[in-house]
Amino acid sequence: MIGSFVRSAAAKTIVLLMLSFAAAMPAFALDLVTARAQGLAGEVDNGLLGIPPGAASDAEGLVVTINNQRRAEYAKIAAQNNLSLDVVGTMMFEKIYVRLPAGTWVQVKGQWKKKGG
Amino acid sequence: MEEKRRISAPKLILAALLFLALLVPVSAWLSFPWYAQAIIDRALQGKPFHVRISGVGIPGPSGIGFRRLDVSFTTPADSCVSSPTTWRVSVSGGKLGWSISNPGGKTDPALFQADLRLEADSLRLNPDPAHYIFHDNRPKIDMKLDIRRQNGLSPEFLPSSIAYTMDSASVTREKLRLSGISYRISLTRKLNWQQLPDTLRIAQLYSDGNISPVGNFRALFGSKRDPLKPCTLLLSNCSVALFAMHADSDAIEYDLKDQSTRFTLRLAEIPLDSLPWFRSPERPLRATGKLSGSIPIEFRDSTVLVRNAILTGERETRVVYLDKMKKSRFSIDLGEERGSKDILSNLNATIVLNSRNNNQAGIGIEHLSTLLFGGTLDMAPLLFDPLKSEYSLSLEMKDVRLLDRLRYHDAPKGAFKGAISGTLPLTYGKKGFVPGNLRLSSTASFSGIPLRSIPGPGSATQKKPFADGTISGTFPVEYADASLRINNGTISATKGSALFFYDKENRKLLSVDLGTPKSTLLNKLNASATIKPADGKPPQFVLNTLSATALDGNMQVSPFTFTPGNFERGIPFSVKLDNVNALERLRLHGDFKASLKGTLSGTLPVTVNRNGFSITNARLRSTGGGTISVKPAAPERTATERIFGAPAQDADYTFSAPDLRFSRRMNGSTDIDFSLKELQRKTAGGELDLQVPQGSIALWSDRKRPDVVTLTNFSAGIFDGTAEIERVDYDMGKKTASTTLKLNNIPLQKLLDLQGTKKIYATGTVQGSIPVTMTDQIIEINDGAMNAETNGQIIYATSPEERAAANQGLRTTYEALSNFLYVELLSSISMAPDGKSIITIRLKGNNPDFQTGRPVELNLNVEQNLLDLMRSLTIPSNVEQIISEKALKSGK
Repeated sequence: MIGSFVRSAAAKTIVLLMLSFAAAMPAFALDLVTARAQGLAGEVDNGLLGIPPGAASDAEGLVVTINNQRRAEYAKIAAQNNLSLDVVGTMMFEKIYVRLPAGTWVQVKGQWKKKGG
Repeated sequence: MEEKRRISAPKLILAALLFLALLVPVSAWLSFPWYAQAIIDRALQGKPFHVRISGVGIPGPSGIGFRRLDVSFTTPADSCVSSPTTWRVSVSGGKLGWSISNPGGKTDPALFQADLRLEADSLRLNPDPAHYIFHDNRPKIDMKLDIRRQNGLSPEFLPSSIAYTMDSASVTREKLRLSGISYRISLTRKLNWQQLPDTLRIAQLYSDGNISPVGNFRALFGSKRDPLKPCTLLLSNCSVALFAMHADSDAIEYDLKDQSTRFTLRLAEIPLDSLPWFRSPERPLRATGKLSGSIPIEFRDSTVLVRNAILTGERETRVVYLDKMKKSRFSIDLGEERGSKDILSNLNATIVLNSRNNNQAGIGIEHLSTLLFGGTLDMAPLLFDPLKSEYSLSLEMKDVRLLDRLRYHDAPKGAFKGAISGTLPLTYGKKGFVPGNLRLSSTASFSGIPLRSIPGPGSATQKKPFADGTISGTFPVEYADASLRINNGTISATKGSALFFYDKENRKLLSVDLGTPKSTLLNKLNASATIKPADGKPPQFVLNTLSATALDGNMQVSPFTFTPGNFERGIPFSVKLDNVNALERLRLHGDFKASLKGTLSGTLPVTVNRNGFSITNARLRSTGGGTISVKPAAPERTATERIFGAPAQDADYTFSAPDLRFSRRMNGSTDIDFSLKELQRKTAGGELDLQVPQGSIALWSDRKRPDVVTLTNFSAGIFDGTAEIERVDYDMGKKTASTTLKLNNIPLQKLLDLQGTKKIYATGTVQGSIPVTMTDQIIEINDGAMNAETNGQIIYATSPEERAAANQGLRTTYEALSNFLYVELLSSISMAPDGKSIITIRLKGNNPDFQTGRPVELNLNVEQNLLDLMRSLTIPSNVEQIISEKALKSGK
């Protein structure tokens, strides 16, 4: 009961978080959407970004920066809801995943694959 | 063989008696020495005597010397002897002494008595057709004569007595010689010239100049014969030493007419320990018990037939083989077994004396067969090589169950079983018995052989047994052309059989369980070895093959040559193991417990010499692994002590895929290069995983510091990074060590996780250099450093409530750390022996969300007791453990 309450509270925060990501995105030469579309970055099931196998390292800086931001935000939610960072990240991934266009690289349980249509 | 003596003796007596008759004409000559030959010729005219004398000296008043006297005479055939016999006697270097008295005095002035004594350098007697030579050195013959003067030239001689004592005479017939003959001939007219019984002794029978196994013959005999058996010579109370064993027979009757005899030699309760083979201090053989036997003998025409002889051993009769410590090792039981006392039975032999065949011995064994230990033993003809002066013979064995009687002396006593078949050629000469090209085959089985009594490493020096349990097995063995082969042998061990290894304090350290209740320890054991004779040197031992299926895997030993004189250089060989299921058989003792599984493969190149063994570049590896638990003995503690006291030192080390390369030198110094796929240390406090730990260990490399173990080039994967130790010398005695632990590429997050906090998140990796000093197992860290290798992020996540509750300074820190992007992270760490540690951390970087992302420097000092921290981390599991223990106890 308490767990599900906490989770739902966290989920609400996550939605807000996602909105804020778009606004807070710094002016990189490459933006996340493009990087993901070009296969230079992919979403990992811990809620962070990763570089898919065989991809060029063009998006490395972008990935580190976004991951730092995401971690900071996840940590905040985790502290507020007495969760661990990993749990928050996992929940985030679920939200991110549904919005990803088909063909985007995702890593689930250590395995990279492209999201199906 | 002793038969020879029996035929010689009566003839000898006969000769002596006849010799007496010879002395009658001799005495004629004695009375008138100056007429010598002429008188002799006249006196012997018409008589069957011929006497030749030469080199007669000038006679003295009481004696005369001569150089040589030859006498020959012929005895006619009679009812006992079918043809006449000519006797030739020659005496050389003789001296005849006399004294003549007139005992009758005036009453019978014509009667004189002469005491004659013949002494000579030698006396030979050679009868024809018997063809033997009797020889006596320094014979002494005494004779008394009554001399009556008669009219004319020839006085009347009447012998009254004659005595001849043989002391060490000999009789030779071609290849045979009886030596050390003693007998006393004493004949008197009063007793009608009958020889009274006297003991005939013959010290030894020689054949071809070599001592034969027959000697010390004794028999009582005289010249009187049984009127019902006029042609029979009777020897009574006969005894003879046969192979140094005393044999006897109440009577031997020799038929002069048939020249044959038939009697039974009895071996009565001969104590084995009285035999010379079991008394020699140099030989490792001893014996107990008594042998008995009977040997029925028939003799005719120079042929001895043994018919159905038997040799039996009474209970507890055995031959014991002693080791160097004079401890009995093996014995052959000769006593009663399964109701049968027989050692030899149904022994039949044909022995020809004085074979004319040059290739046969003076005593020629034409045939010998016997039942021996349930099997048969046949002997081919005994041949003699006159050039080498050697006998040769060949024994053929079939199913001789000698091994059934072999006992292994230890507790428990091992038993053997097996029949031996094969041929054993032997030569017998000056070197004694020398075996020739032996061919033997046997399926030898053994059971209950105690492992501890098998010579092996440490068995001599170790006070405690190096092994326990017994082994059994079967070895089908073939021996031919100096090669020994084992085909498809098996060895199994009883439950509980094990090899033990001890530490310096003689505590059990490691054992290898060999017990094979269901399967065999070794099977398909095939081996072949050759003994190569070398000229004038001890023979070489060559192992050609040795392989076996060992614990479901394979074992193979490389060929090697062993030269006894060359032992210093050592015997190099190599043992190859292939998937030997050995790990599950390793047991650790004391504070350790092992639970391992897997097969072992590899090669062990070993060199063994007098001083020990060395191993060069061995490699052993396994795909298996397991867990070694360390549980130091600790005093019983109360629940409170266990909760709040120091945690137990118990730890489980789990490893997989060990791969060892090692070398050991003769002096014991050992180098081991090791690698494992994984090593996990699990304690109540947590787990530590090492990936591919590897390194080199040197043991006993410094003789002056035998306790020092040196670990070099150690590396392992830890927390996705690596840990390395270049070198550490650990003193096992003092329990001290000092080294620097180098860490690389360690994710910062993993180190934070170790602290148990769930609120700090970090990225980036650190490297470290941590000097560690161990004194008596207490660890101290002096000025270790851990620095970030890259930029990274540190997040100390706090809830709004925590921030609100914090003071201003702390709140600022919290805010700065909510998303700190560091560009520099330096830390130093020190820990005192009591666990008190100081960690100082210096961070440089910024937080984009804090004070517009201005650069921030943070200095953190963490003072804590690292040991206490570890303890506090272990409390929950301690509590859980204690609670569950209590539940278990109350449940009973």
